[in-house]
Amino acid sequence: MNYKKLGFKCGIEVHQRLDTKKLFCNCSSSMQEEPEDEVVRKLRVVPGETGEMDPAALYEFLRDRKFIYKIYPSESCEVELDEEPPHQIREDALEISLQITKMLDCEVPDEIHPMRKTVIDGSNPSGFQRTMLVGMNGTLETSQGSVGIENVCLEEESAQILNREENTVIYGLNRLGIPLVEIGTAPDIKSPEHAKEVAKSLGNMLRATGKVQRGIGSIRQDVNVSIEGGSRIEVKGLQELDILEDTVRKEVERQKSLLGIKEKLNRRGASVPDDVFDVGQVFEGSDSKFYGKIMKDKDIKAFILKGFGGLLANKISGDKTFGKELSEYAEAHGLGGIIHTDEDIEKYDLLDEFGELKKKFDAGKDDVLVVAAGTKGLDEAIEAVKDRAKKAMEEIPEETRDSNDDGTTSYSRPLPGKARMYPETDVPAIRIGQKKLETIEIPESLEKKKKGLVEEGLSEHLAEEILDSRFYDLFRELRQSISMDLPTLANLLTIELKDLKKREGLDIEKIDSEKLTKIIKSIDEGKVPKDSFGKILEELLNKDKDLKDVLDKTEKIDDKSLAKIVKKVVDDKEELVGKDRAFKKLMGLVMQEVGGKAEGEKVSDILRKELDERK
Amino acid sequence: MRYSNELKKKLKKEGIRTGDRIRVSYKQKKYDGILMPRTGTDEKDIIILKLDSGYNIGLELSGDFSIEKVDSRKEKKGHETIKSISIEKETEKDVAILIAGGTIASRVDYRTGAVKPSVDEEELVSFAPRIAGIANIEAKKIIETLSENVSPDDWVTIAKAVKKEIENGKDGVVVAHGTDTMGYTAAALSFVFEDLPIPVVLTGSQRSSDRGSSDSHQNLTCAVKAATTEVAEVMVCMHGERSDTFCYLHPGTKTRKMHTSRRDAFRTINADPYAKVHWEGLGVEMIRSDYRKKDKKRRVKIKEHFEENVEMVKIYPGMDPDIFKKQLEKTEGVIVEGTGLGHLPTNNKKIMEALKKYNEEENIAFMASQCLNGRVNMNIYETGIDLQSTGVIGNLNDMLPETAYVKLAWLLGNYNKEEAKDLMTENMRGEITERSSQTKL
Repeated sequence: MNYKKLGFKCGIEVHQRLDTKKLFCNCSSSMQEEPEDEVVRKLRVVPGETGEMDPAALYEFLRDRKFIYKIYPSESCEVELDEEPPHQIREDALEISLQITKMLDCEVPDEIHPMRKTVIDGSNPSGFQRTMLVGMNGTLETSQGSVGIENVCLEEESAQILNREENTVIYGLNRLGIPLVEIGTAPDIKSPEHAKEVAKSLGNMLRATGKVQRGIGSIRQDVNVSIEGGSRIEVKGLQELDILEDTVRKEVERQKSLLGIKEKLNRRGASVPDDVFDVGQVFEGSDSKFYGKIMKDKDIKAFILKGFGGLLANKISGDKTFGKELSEYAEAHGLGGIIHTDEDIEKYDLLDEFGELKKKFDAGKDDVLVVAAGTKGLDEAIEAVKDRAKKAMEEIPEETRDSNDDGTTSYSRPLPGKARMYPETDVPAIRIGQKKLETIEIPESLEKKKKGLVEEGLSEHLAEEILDSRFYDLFRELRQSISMDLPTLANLLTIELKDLKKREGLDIEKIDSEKLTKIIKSIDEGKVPKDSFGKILEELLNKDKDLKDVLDKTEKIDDKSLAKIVKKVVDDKEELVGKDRAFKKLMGLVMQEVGGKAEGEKVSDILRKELDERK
Repeated sequence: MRYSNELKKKLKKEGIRTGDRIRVSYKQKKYDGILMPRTGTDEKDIIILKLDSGYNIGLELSGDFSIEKVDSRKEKKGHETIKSISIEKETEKDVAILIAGGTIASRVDYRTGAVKPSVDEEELVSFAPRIAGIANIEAKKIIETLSENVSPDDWVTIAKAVKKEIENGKDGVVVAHGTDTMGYTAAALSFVFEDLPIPVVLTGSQRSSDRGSSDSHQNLTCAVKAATTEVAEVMVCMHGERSDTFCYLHPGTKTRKMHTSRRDAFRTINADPYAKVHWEGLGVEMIRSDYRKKDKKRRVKIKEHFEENVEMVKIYPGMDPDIFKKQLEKTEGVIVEGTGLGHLPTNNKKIMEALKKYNEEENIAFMASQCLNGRVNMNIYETGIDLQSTGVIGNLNDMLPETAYVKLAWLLGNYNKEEAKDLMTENMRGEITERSSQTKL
């Protein structure tokens, strides 16, 4: 596809959580705990800074929802609950964000001003997110030329949704307030592949700081896409680079299809009449199982889309139809969806009822009859669907959409307006002097780090693993103080741990740097055998034993004692000597005897010697 | 504005005012945005620019730079508010809201982010659209100040305004007040009105109204609801817990701010709240039945003078007896905030002598406890008995020190010394309870 010809415009925003304590309080960012209590809140819409109400904020307010916030022992406090003003900004998080601005060649303001960005979806109990611009007008070099960096922001991560019930959203406060760096590019991206490249490149840059969180959800992308004649669509919350590329491609497809539908509707002189009919009676007493399960005891209403016939079945992106696109507006208002005559009505077992309705309302071949059922919010939902259908004849509405795993997107809410930021006066502005900027070091790029490690004897794979590991800092620290060779150390910290997780189901997330250091140092000093690494961790994590006891228990058997054990085993099984596979069998018996307290290699040496002597 | 002279001159020359759209060129870079008012720091060469992205940044303009006006400030209507949602009236009651400052009556200036005590009547009502469904509302601004600045003179202003509303036939009065000293004002109003005919409800907010999470609308709405009840007492209506679930109606003489920032900062001490007002459905759940019943026909009587020469002195280890003595000078009455059951360092001769002399000169000293919870009892330890010999009166029982201070100032303002001394230890407005039955601390 020629994206240039389509007038393709695309920019991305990368959001990365930092691996420090929270931005404005002293809570841990580790997200390991279970909640211990909860608080219930209702948010209210407030006029924005310029006095205009933000449309996204208003939309959320009108949904009139209740929010339940889960509280955690050491991962949330009164600051997250908006019961206490923010503390001073976390210095190391600020420094990491400044590092990033340097890597992207950004301009840094002389004074950084924390702002409040209105969010009323409940993801922040205060009703706003704290955010600040730390860099602007930077560049990223890519294979397709340079891509502008419009801004680098340091902000608070939002609370995460744990559950939704009718009119209630349950949030966990453990994620709220974790420092988050947001990098926004200019709309310079040239193609879906290019979007992936840019996202990957920014991700690598962030990881090169060595101070970012890893794992699911710790990095997310939003993409903005439009084509000529289309509109800016913001797709939120992408986590996989491959899906990102696919999503961009499918959004272009969607906008192209919608433009095609618009042309057809105009040619046909389509229209959306105002009338909405109460049609409950028509369905009364229906045998349809679908009716019994979904529609019964609800209000049922219908309306006509004149001249839309056939178009609702058109696929507009992936397997998604235009009908589904309309239906999502009803879903956003709490309905299960809509039923329309461009669908296979037979599958609902409602052919007769729809036939009657079509006749009653004089719906022609080119018209679509739409039926929706619900109680609360039914009228609003129908209005939303009709509005969307009307817009289909004029334009593609600008909106925020959620990403799906198959690359398609779903309607989320209107695009937030600009009237949503005002100064956070509880936190003083931060003066960034030239001197301060000069002390900020640019970290070595991941590529360079990898090259260096390979030169030091690590395989490419092992180098990538250790660079991606949360124990990378520990690796750098340990290599200064121990004599173990680098590949062995890297292997223990990465592949060994992953294997233990896979093989033994060990919860390696629970192990911390301090304990790992003790174990590895004991191995390095020859106190415990390397082979018992897994066994030690297993005792530690699965059996919840004290580390010192475990290490004492696994202390190595010295060579003399080992020779004695070998001799005893061979004495007992003298009959095996000289036989087939004697070595292997005896080796197994000795290992059983020493129970992980000796290296296999050592045992093998001694056993071989013993056997040689007996020949 | 606190710009450097050079910057001031340049802005003046270009005719640039705060709010104008400007272009700044310096260090080979150009920035477009709206000039924001300077706040906070002492840096005089820094201007604050609101970029099109909505972010503010500070730029240090010294040396080589140029600044030009692109567009004049757009005069916008100051603020838009959500219009009252009209709800069918459930009652035909009339409630007055008197605005006496504080966070609840403050508005954020969205340009500077500064909180200003400047809300007007209409706006306050718009914060809490549901109140229009509870009663006919008439809102008036009577004082414009933050509560740390409220003085006994302001108590009198508020009391007179409340009296006027009672005489106007209102069913209830709500006073929107800052939270820092709301407990003092509530106590003051409690004493000023004898035989109060209707409910008088103080309310405030711990979180500014610009936030989606502000407690102001729940507190104000529940306060208006409380003003329509039969409880003709001075009460404080504030969040009952950290959730937006209900407000407590605390007795005016028994309530205290117990947290710097939480929305449930107010607690009833040594007693129980009168009632809960539930946020959902606005149901009033009575906790106590020993309240004065509303009777609009009762004539309102007020005694509104407060004696200035009353002090509150806190006792602490290592306190300087000379400073203690100094604090007693020129006063006619003092509330000593003692330790524990009502103690002070009786082994310090200077302090003891000072107190003795104070009483001999016909001044009044009362003992309250900094423990807040529990009763003063100076008969338990010998030191307490020694202290009584100096003339310090210890039977204030479980009266809060702040309430005791307000009461003493009020008594000395309206009665002679002997009467004041007697009345001080008598329960007049629920400030002393007879039984200690509170289970929770």
